[in-house]
Amino acid sequence: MPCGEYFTSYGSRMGLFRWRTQRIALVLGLPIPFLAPLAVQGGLLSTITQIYIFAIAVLGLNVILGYAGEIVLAQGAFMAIGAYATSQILADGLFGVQIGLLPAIMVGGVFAAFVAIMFGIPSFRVKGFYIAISTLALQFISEWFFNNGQLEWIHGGTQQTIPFEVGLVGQWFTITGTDMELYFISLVLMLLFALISLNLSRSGMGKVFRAIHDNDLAAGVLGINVFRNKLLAFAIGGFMIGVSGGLFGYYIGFISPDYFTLDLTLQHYVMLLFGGLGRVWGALLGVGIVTIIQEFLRGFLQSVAANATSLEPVFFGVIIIVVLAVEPKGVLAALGQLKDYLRKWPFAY
Amino acid sequence: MSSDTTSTTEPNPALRDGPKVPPEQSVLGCKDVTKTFGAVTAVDDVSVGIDEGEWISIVGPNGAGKTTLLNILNGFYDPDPGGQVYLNGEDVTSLKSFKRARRGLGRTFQGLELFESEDVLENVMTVRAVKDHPNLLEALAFYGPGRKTEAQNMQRVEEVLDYLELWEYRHSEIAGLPLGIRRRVDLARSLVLEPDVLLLDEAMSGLTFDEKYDMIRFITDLHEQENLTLVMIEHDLEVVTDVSDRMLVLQKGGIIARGPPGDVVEDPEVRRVYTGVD
Repeated sequence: MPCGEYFTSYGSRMGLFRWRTQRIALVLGLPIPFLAPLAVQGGLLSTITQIYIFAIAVLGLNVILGYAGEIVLAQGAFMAIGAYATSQILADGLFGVQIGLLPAIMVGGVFAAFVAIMFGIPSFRVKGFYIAISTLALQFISEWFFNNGQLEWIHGGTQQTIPFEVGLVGQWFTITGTDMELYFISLVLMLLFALISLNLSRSGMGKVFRAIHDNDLAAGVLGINVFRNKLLAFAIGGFMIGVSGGLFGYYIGFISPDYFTLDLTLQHYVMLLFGGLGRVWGALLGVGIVTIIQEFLRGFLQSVAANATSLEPVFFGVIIIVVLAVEPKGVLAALGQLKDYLRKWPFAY
Repeated sequence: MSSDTTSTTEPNPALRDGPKVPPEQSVLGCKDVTKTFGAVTAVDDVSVGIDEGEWISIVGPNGAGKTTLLNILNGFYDPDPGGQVYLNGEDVTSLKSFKRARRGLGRTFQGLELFESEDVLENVMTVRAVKDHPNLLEALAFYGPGRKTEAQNMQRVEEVLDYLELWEYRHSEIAGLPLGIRRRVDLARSLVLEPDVLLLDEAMSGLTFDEKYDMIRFITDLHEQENLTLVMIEHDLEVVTDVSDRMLVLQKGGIIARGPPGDVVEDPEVRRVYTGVD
């Protein structure tokens, strides 16, 4: 007599939540972030909002690095482009028309995607480490560009204040930038981009990206347009990072090139590698855990001595090294091993 | 073979003729193709024409230029100026390898070149996905036509895996599989593109007798049932003479003999190349 769950169609086998336990976890788990503001407020709610915003950027990085295997060191640049474009559109409108926060953020993402493509075209003439260096150049160009007051006619000013009172779409659904509003906007956008990332991963296009990551020479001979797909991964990732930048700008209410430096890029790398490269859940987990560790460290060091917070990067670095030395594939892989161990317990195999 | 036998046989002039099928009218062919890497000439003025449904084997010692010729045919290398490559009668010299693959030119790899981080099913699904030109919006939404296409692809891939007796390995990681299974995965990957012509680069290299027997069985059935045109690089002359319609011998980048396998292996020049005995 058969037991367990069986797939009766190819469609059901490709579902995101294929097993009963996964569906139960979804039903029980999904309401939690929507109900969280009832229990959490103030600084903690703001921190969780930032986790959601950075999660979008790390998901974008995951598309470029985790799926397509291209090392891009211009995370800060893409976020800056998204943030400045969003700020300009909210201040002056798009061709004089106020399109509201969400469309402005999306247009900011499109700008970032456009720059990603324009920069990717010459960069893909080289490979691997050299692409990393060329994207690093974009990061430095971006910092120079947004710091350059003479180019204010393009970027609208090195430091900009973003108005909190805007329409969500066009002039409708006006919001005032309260913690609660920011929380829900960030949550919904993060869930949307997580879903998009999961879909991309299980689609033919995601498979093509991973094939390029694994073996681009074989991929080309087997019918994959390597150049086009690398650009596409760059554009999709750039768009998501740009959206995150626009949302981050609105969340802070003030933008400056100091927010979008190489440090931010490296921080997002740590989050992605910490969680698990190439995995959507890994990226989300990485952002959450790393942010919590940072916040915990900051609080702990402050309680020890006022000037001890300067040691935060040292402790943070040690934690990251230890975790990645124990499990180089990230926390998600470690959880998978734990699950496997518990499933077999008390037997070894 | 003894040197006495070869010394009494004259070279067969019929094996020194040009291509049987004009390259311009062939399913796959090349004309006046030369490929040099610096001072080394890997392929030297080669012209080949392959007829529809034909099984051609390319043999020759190591370094003869067999894989380079295959790489030129599938677009991985460009020939030196003046050389031309034809696919289904069309000049595809300027077409990149991915476009040739989409026009029906499949291949397997001597070094396998599998997608090592994926399992067997994903390796084959990836190549199948190429056939449908993945659409960005369908991929991001994964609903409607995109989902339906993916389900159809999976069905077709599973048929191929079933045919190649890979079903039980479909969820196995590539890295842990024996060579015989890995070579079958490589073949499965090229088959899901439904090629008109399949290039097999030492598809039986390193296999045990049983694995080689299985591989020949799969390829022979494909050739007979699907009328698949095959170009195979192989060192085992027994296999080549058993299965090929024609044979082509390369030495130092040039063709020294071509024709029916039975005649070619009896040719004294070919014997000399293979045994080193005049």
